[in-house]
Amino acid sequence: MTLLERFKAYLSSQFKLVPPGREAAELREEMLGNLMSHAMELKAEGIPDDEVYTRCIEALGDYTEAINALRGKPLQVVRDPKFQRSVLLLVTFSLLCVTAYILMGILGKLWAVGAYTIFPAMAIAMYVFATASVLKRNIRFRKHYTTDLILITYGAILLTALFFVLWLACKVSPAVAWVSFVYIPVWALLSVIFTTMFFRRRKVWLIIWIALVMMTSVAVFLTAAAVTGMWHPLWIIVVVGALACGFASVFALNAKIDKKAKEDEFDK
Amino acid sequence: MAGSGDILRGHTETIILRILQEGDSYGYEIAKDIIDGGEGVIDVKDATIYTAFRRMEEEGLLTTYWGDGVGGARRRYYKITEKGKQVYAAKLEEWKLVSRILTKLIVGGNR
Repeated sequence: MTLLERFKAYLSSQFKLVPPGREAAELREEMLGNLMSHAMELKAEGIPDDEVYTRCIEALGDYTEAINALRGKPLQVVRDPKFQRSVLLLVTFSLLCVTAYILMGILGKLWAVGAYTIFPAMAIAMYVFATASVLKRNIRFRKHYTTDLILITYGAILLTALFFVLWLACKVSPAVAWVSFVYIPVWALLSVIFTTMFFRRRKVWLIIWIALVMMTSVAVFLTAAAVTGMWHPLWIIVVVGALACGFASVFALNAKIDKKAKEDEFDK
Repeated sequence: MAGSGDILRGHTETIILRILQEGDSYGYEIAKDIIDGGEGVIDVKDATIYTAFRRMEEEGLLTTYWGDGVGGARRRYYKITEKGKQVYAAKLEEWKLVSRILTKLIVGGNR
Protein backbone atom coordinates (compact mmCIF):
# COMPACT_ATOMS: atom_id res chain seq x y z
CA MET A 1 0.00 0.00 0.00
CA THR A 2 1.20 3.53 -0.69
CA LEU A 3 1.52 5.98 2.16
CA LEU A 4 -1.56 7.83 0.91
CA GLU A 5 -3.61 4.62 1.04
CA ARG A 6 -2.28 3.75 4.50
CA PHE A 7 -3.15 7.19 5.83
CA LYS A 8 -6.62 6.98 4.28
CA ALA A 9 -7.15 3.57 5.93
CA TYR A 10 -5.99 5.00 9.26
CA LEU A 11 -8.36 7.95 8.97
CA SER A 12 -11.23 5.60 8.02
CA SER A 13 -10.69 3.72 11.27
CA GLN A 14 -10.64 6.98 13.25
CA PHE A 15 -13.86 8.21 11.63
CA LYS A 16 -15.68 4.86 11.77
CA LEU A 17 -18.37 6.07 14.15
CA VAL A 18 -18.75 9.56 12.72
CA PRO A 19 -21.84 10.09 10.53
CA PRO A 20 -21.01 11.49 7.07
CA GLY A 21 -21.18 15.25 6.79
CA ARG A 22 -19.33 18.24 5.40
CA GLU A 23 -17.46 19.05 8.60
CA ALA A 24 -16.28 15.45 9.09
CA ALA A 25 -15.17 15.23 5.44
CA GLU A 26 -13.23 18.49 5.75
CA LEU A 27 -11.50 17.42 8.95
CA ARG A 28 -10.48 14.12 7.35
CA GLU A 29 -9.12 15.90 4.31
CA GLU A 30 -7.23 18.40 6.47
CA MET A 31 -5.69 15.61 8.53
CA LEU A 32 -4.73 13.75 5.33
CA GLY A 33 -3.16 16.91 3.91
CA ASN A 34 -1.07 17.40 7.07
CA LEU A 35 -0.03 13.74 7.11
CA MET A 36 1.08 13.79 3.47
CA SER A 37 2.96 17.10 3.88
CA HIS A 38 4.90 15.66 6.81
CA ALA A 39 5.40 12.34 4.99
CA MET A 40 6.84 13.97 1.85
CA GLU A 41 9.39 15.88 3.96
CA LEU A 42 10.49 12.72 5.74
CA LYS A 43 10.67 10.74 2.50
CA ALA A 44 12.89 13.46 0.99
CA GLU A 45 15.32 12.71 3.85
CA GLY A 46 15.45 9.08 2.71
CA ILE A 47 13.47 7.64 5.62
CA PRO A 48 11.72 4.33 4.81
CA ASP A 49 7.94 4.30 4.39
CA ASP A 50 7.15 2.31 7.55
CA GLU A 51 9.06 4.74 9.75
CA VAL A 52 7.55 7.71 7.89
CA TYR A 53 4.08 6.31 8.57
CA THR A 54 4.75 5.79 12.30
CA ARG A 55 6.29 9.21 12.80
CA CYS A 56 3.52 11.01 10.94
CA ILE A 57 0.77 9.28 12.92
CA GLU A 58 2.56 10.10 16.18
CA ALA A 59 2.93 13.75 15.19
CA LEU A 60 -0.79 13.94 14.41
CA GLY A 61 -1.64 13.69 18.10
CA ASP A 62 -5.01 12.98 19.68
CA TYR A 63 -7.93 14.14 17.59
CA THR A 64 -10.46 12.29 19.80
CA GLU A 65 -12.03 15.47 21.11
CA ALA A 66 -12.46 16.94 17.63
CA ILE A 67 -13.82 13.67 16.20
CA ASN A 68 -16.19 13.12 19.13
CA ALA A 69 -17.57 16.61 18.60
CA LEU A 70 -18.61 15.51 15.10
CA ARG A 71 -20.60 12.51 16.32
CA GLY A 72 -23.61 14.73 16.82
CA LYS A 73 -24.92 14.36 20.30
CA PRO A 74 -28.75 14.33 20.33
CA LEU A 75 -29.01 17.67 22.16
CA GLN A 76 -26.77 19.30 19.57
CA VAL A 77 -28.93 17.93 16.74
CA VAL A 78 -32.06 19.36 18.38
CA ARG A 79 -30.38 22.76 18.76
CA ASP A 80 -29.36 22.84 15.09
CA PRO A 81 -31.40 25.57 13.26
CA LYS A 82 -31.79 23.33 10.17
CA PHE A 83 -33.37 20.60 12.29
CA GLN A 84 -35.66 23.14 13.99
CA ARG A 85 -36.73 24.56 10.60
CA SER A 86 -37.51 21.02 9.35
CA VAL A 87 -39.66 20.30 12.40
CA LEU A 88 -41.47 23.64 11.96
CA LEU A 89 -42.13 22.86 8.28
CA LEU A 90 -43.46 19.41 9.19
CA VAL A 91 -45.79 20.77 11.87
CA THR A 92 -47.05 23.56 9.56
CA PHE A 93 -47.76 21.10 6.75
CA SER A 94 -49.60 18.74 9.14
CA LEU A 95 -51.71 21.60 10.50
CA LEU A 96 -52.62 22.69 6.95
CA CYS A 97 -53.72 19.14 6.08
CA VAL A 98 -55.80 18.84 9.25
CA THR A 99 -57.36 22.26 8.55
CA ALA A 100 -58.17 21.21 4.98
CA TYR A 101 -59.77 18.01 6.31
CA ILE A 102 -61.90 19.89 8.83
CA LEU A 103 -63.01 22.42 6.17
CA MET A 104 -63.90 19.56 3.77
CA GLY A 105 -65.96 17.98 6.52
CA ILE A 106 -67.72 21.08 7.76
CA LEU A 107 -68.38 22.73 4.40
CA GLY A 108 -68.84 19.68 2.16
CA LYS A 109 -69.78 17.02 4.71
CA LEU A 110 -67.00 14.95 3.08
CA TRP A 111 -65.52 13.55 6.31
CA ALA A 112 -64.94 10.03 4.94
CA VAL A 113 -63.59 11.17 1.54
CA GLY A 114 -61.38 13.70 3.29
CA ALA A 115 -59.93 11.04 5.60
CA TYR A 116 -59.19 8.66 2.70
CA THR A 117 -57.55 11.29 0.51
CA ILE A 118 -55.93 13.98 2.62
CA PHE A 119 -54.16 11.87 5.24
CA PRO A 120 -52.65 9.29 2.81
CA ALA A 121 -51.60 12.18 0.53
CA MET A 122 -50.04 13.92 3.55
CA ALA A 123 -48.11 10.75 4.52
CA ILE A 124 -46.89 10.20 0.93
CA ALA A 125 -45.82 13.85 0.57
CA MET A 126 -43.85 13.70 3.85
CA TYR A 127 -42.19 10.43 2.83
CA VAL A 128 -41.22 11.78 -0.60
CA PHE A 129 -39.91 15.03 0.90
CA ALA A 130 -37.86 13.19 3.56
CA THR A 131 -36.40 10.79 0.98
CA ALA A 132 -35.54 13.62 -1.43
CA SER A 133 -33.96 15.57 1.41
CA VAL A 134 -31.79 12.64 2.51
CA LEU A 135 -30.81 11.93 -1.11
CA LYS A 136 -29.87 15.56 -1.75
CA ARG A 137 -27.67 15.66 1.35
CA ASN A 138 -25.93 12.33 0.78
CA ILE A 139 -26.04 11.36 -2.91
CA ARG A 140 -22.62 12.94 -3.61
CA PHE A 141 -20.93 10.50 -1.23
CA ARG A 142 -19.25 7.62 -3.04
CA LYS A 143 -20.75 5.08 -0.67
CA HIS A 144 -24.17 5.72 -2.19
CA TYR A 145 -23.33 3.82 -5.31
CA THR A 146 -20.69 1.48 -3.93
CA THR A 147 -22.61 -0.02 -0.98
CA ASP A 148 -25.04 -2.81 -1.87
CA LEU A 149 -27.47 -2.17 1.03
CA ILE A 150 -27.92 1.48 0.03
CA LEU A 151 -28.43 0.54 -3.64
CA ILE A 152 -30.97 -2.12 -2.60
CA THR A 153 -32.92 0.46 -0.54
CA TYR A 154 -33.09 2.89 -3.45
CA GLY A 155 -34.21 0.05 -5.73
CA ALA A 156 -36.96 -0.97 -3.33
CA ILE A 157 -38.22 2.63 -3.17
CA LEU A 158 -38.17 3.04 -6.97
CA LEU A 159 -39.90 -0.29 -7.66
CA THR A 160 -42.59 0.41 -5.04
CA ALA A 161 -43.18 3.79 -6.68
CA LEU A 162 -43.30 2.01 -10.06
CA PHE A 163 -46.10 -0.25 -8.79
CA PHE A 164 -48.23 2.78 -7.84
CA VAL A 165 -47.44 4.56 -11.12
CA LEU A 166 -48.41 1.49 -13.17
CA TRP A 167 -51.59 0.94 -11.16
CA LEU A 168 -52.85 4.50 -10.63
CA ALA A 169 -51.40 6.51 -13.54
CA CYS A 170 -51.08 3.88 -16.28
CA LYS A 171 -54.27 2.03 -15.22
CA VAL A 172 -52.50 -1.34 -15.29
CA SER A 173 -54.29 -4.02 -13.33
CA PRO A 174 -52.75 -4.62 -9.85
CA ALA A 175 -52.59 -8.33 -10.75
CA VAL A 176 -49.97 -7.38 -13.37
CA ALA A 177 -48.45 -4.31 -11.70
CA TRP A 178 -47.41 -6.34 -8.60
CA VAL A 179 -44.66 -7.92 -10.78
CA SER A 180 -42.63 -4.76 -10.07
CA PHE A 181 -42.22 -6.07 -6.48
CA VAL A 182 -40.71 -9.28 -7.88
CA TYR A 183 -37.90 -7.20 -9.31
CA ILE A 184 -36.86 -6.00 -5.84
CA PRO A 185 -34.84 -9.21 -5.14
CA VAL A 186 -33.57 -9.08 -8.74
CA TRP A 187 -32.42 -5.50 -8.15
CA ALA A 188 -30.91 -6.62 -4.83
CA LEU A 189 -28.94 -9.35 -6.56
CA LEU A 190 -27.78 -7.00 -9.32
CA SER A 191 -26.67 -4.47 -6.67
CA VAL A 192 -24.65 -7.13 -4.87
CA ILE A 193 -23.11 -8.26 -8.19
CA PHE A 194 -22.31 -4.66 -9.20
CA THR A 195 -20.66 -3.76 -5.91
CA THR A 196 -18.83 -7.10 -5.73
CA MET A 197 -17.49 -6.82 -9.27
CA PHE A 198 -16.33 -3.23 -9.07
CA PHE A 199 -15.78 -2.31 -5.44
CA ARG A 200 -14.86 -5.41 -3.48
CA ARG A 201 -11.55 -7.21 -3.51
CA ARG A 202 -12.72 -10.82 -3.38
CA LYS A 203 -14.82 -11.95 -6.32
CA VAL A 204 -16.52 -15.32 -6.74
CA TRP A 205 -17.48 -15.24 -10.42
CA LEU A 206 -19.15 -18.62 -10.73
CA ILE A 207 -21.59 -17.99 -7.87
CA ILE A 208 -22.32 -14.51 -9.22
CA TRP A 209 -23.17 -15.80 -12.69
CA ILE A 210 -25.28 -18.69 -11.39
CA ALA A 211 -27.28 -16.35 -9.17
CA LEU A 212 -27.68 -13.86 -12.05
CA VAL A 213 -28.94 -16.50 -14.49
CA MET A 214 -31.37 -18.01 -11.95
CA MET A 215 -32.87 -14.70 -10.87
CA THR A 216 -33.17 -13.53 -14.47
CA SER A 217 -34.96 -16.70 -15.52
CA VAL A 218 -37.35 -16.48 -12.55
CA ALA A 219 -38.05 -12.80 -13.27
CA VAL A 220 -38.64 -13.47 -16.99
CA PHE A 221 -40.98 -16.37 -16.11
CA LEU A 222 -43.01 -14.32 -13.61
CA THR A 223 -43.30 -11.32 -15.92
CA ALA A 224 -44.25 -13.35 -18.98
CA ALA A 225 -46.71 -15.47 -17.00
CA ALA A 226 -48.34 -12.47 -15.33
CA VAL A 227 -48.77 -10.69 -18.67
CA THR A 228 -49.93 -13.67 -20.73
CA GLY A 229 -51.54 -15.71 -17.96
CA MET A 230 -49.68 -18.81 -19.26
CA TRP A 231 -48.13 -20.03 -16.00
CA HIS A 232 -47.94 -23.42 -17.67
CA PRO A 233 -45.86 -24.01 -19.81
CA LEU A 234 -43.81 -20.85 -19.16
CA TRP A 235 -42.36 -22.44 -15.97
CA ILE A 236 -39.97 -24.20 -18.40
CA ILE A 237 -37.97 -20.91 -18.49
CA VAL A 238 -36.87 -21.50 -14.90
CA VAL A 239 -35.88 -25.11 -15.70
CA VAL A 240 -33.82 -23.91 -18.70
CA GLY A 241 -32.09 -21.35 -16.44
CA ALA A 242 -31.27 -24.06 -13.86
CA LEU A 243 -29.92 -26.41 -16.57
CA ALA A 244 -27.78 -23.59 -18.01
CA CYS A 245 -26.36 -22.97 -14.51
CA GLY A 246 -25.69 -26.70 -14.11
CA PHE A 247 -23.76 -26.94 -17.40
CA ALA A 248 -21.85 -23.69 -16.66
CA SER A 249 -20.84 -25.08 -13.23
CA VAL A 250 -19.64 -28.37 -14.75
CA PHE A 251 -17.52 -26.58 -17.38
CA ALA A 252 -16.11 -24.07 -14.89
CA LEU A 253 -15.23 -26.71 -12.31
CA ASN A 254 -13.68 -28.90 -15.02
CA ALA A 255 -11.53 -25.99 -16.13
CA LYS A 256 -10.48 -25.39 -12.50
CA ILE A 257 -9.53 -29.08 -12.06
CA ASP A 258 -7.50 -29.01 -15.31
CA LYS A 259 -5.71 -25.85 -14.24
CA LYS A 260 -4.87 -27.37 -10.84
CA ALA A 261 -3.63 -30.56 -12.51
CA LYS A 262 -1.34 -28.54 -14.82
CA GLU A 263 0.05 -26.55 -11.84
CA ASP A 264 0.76 -29.78 -9.94
CA GLU A 265 2.47 -31.20 -13.07
CA PHE A 266 4.60 -28.05 -13.37
CA ASP A 267 5.59 -28.19 -9.69
CA LYS A 268 6.86 -31.75 -10.11
CA MET B 1 11.50 21.57 33.81
CA ALA B 2 7.83 22.23 33.03
CA GLY B 3 6.34 20.13 30.23
CA SER B 4 5.95 21.76 26.82
CA GLY B 5 2.17 21.72 27.33
CA ASP B 6 2.54 23.87 30.44
CA ILE B 7 4.87 26.29 28.67
CA LEU B 8 2.50 26.71 25.73
CA ARG B 9 -0.73 26.83 27.70
CA GLY B 10 -2.58 30.09 27.13
CA HIS B 11 -0.18 31.19 24.40
CA THR B 12 -0.94 28.79 21.54
CA GLU B 13 -3.41 31.15 19.88
CA THR B 14 -1.08 34.13 20.15
CA ILE B 15 1.76 32.14 18.61
CA ILE B 16 -0.48 30.96 15.75
CA LEU B 17 -1.64 34.53 15.12
CA ARG B 18 1.98 35.70 14.98
CA ILE B 19 2.88 32.99 12.47
CA LEU B 20 -0.17 33.78 10.30
CA GLN B 21 0.61 37.49 10.48
CA GLU B 22 3.79 36.65 8.56
CA GLY B 23 1.90 34.71 5.90
CA ASP B 24 -0.86 32.16 5.31
CA SER B 25 -0.01 28.67 6.49
CA TYR B 26 -1.44 25.24 7.22
CA GLY B 27 -1.62 22.93 10.23
CA TYR B 28 1.54 20.85 9.82
CA GLU B 29 3.66 23.84 8.77
CA ILE B 30 2.57 25.83 11.85
CA ALA B 31 3.26 22.90 14.19
CA LYS B 32 6.70 22.57 12.59
CA ASP B 33 7.41 26.31 13.02
CA ILE B 34 6.55 26.09 16.72
CA ILE B 35 8.71 22.99 17.24
CA ASP B 36 11.63 24.51 15.34
CA GLY B 37 11.30 27.80 17.23
CA GLY B 38 10.93 25.95 20.54
CA GLU B 39 14.65 24.97 20.52
CA GLY B 40 13.87 21.37 21.35
CA VAL B 41 11.91 22.27 24.48
CA ILE B 42 8.48 22.49 22.95
CA ASP B 43 6.65 19.68 21.18
CA VAL B 44 3.20 20.34 19.76
CA LYS B 45 0.86 17.99 17.95
CA ASP B 46 -1.33 18.76 14.93
CA ALA B 47 -4.41 18.07 17.04
CA THR B 48 -3.53 20.89 19.45
CA ILE B 49 -3.15 23.31 16.57
CA TYR B 50 -6.41 22.10 15.04
CA THR B 51 -8.35 22.70 18.28
CA ALA B 52 -6.94 26.22 18.45
CA PHE B 53 -7.84 26.81 14.77
CA ARG B 54 -11.47 25.88 15.34
CA ARG B 55 -11.76 28.21 18.35
CA MET B 56 -10.13 31.08 16.49
CA GLU B 57 -12.24 30.53 13.38
CA GLU B 58 -15.42 30.68 15.47
CA GLU B 59 -14.19 33.94 17.00
CA GLY B 60 -13.52 35.37 13.54
CA LEU B 61 -9.75 35.67 14.03
CA LEU B 62 -8.92 33.70 10.90
CA THR B 63 -10.43 32.33 7.70
CA THR B 64 -9.57 29.21 5.73
CA TYR B 65 -9.28 28.10 2.15
CA TRP B 66 -8.21 24.93 0.37
CA GLY B 67 -5.01 24.92 -1.61
CA ASP B 68 -2.75 22.48 -3.42
CA GLY B 69 -0.99 19.91 -1.31
CA VAL B 70 1.50 17.15 -1.96
CA GLY B 71 1.23 13.44 -2.54
CA GLY B 72 -2.38 13.57 -3.72
CA ALA B 73 -3.93 15.38 -0.74
CA ARG B 74 -5.13 18.99 -0.45
CA ARG B 75 -4.04 21.38 2.27
CA ARG B 76 -6.29 23.63 4.32
CA TYR B 77 -4.64 27.05 4.60
CA TYR B 78 -5.40 29.58 7.32
CA LYS B 79 -5.35 33.38 6.90
CA ILE B 80 -5.45 35.95 9.66
CA THR B 81 -8.33 38.47 9.57
CA GLU B 82 -8.27 42.14 10.58
CA LYS B 83 -9.86 41.17 13.88
CA GLY B 84 -7.14 38.54 14.30
CA LYS B 85 -4.46 41.20 13.76
CA GLN B 86 -6.06 43.43 16.39
CA VAL B 87 -6.32 40.58 18.87
CA TYR B 88 -2.67 39.68 18.21
CA ALA B 89 -1.57 43.28 18.82
CA ALA B 90 -3.48 43.33 22.13
CA LYS B 91 -2.08 39.97 23.21
CA LEU B 92 1.42 41.08 22.30
CA GLU B 93 1.14 44.15 24.57
CA GLU B 94 -0.29 41.98 27.32
CA TRP B 95 2.60 39.53 26.94
CA LYS B 96 5.20 42.31 27.08
CA LEU B 97 3.68 43.58 30.34
CA VAL B 98 3.40 40.15 31.93
CA SER B 99 6.88 39.20 30.76
CA ARG B 100 8.37 42.37 32.27
CA ILE B 101 6.59 41.84 35.59
CA LEU B 102 7.44 38.14 35.83
CA THR B 103 11.09 38.79 34.98
CA LYS B 104 11.17 41.38 37.78
CA LEU B 105 9.54 39.00 40.24
CA ILE B 106 11.51 35.88 39.35
CA VAL B 107 14.91 37.34 38.59
CA GLY B 108 14.64 40.09 41.25
CA GLY B 109 17.45 42.62 41.72
CA ASN B 110 15.23 45.62 42.45
CA ARG B 111 16.28 46.10 46.06
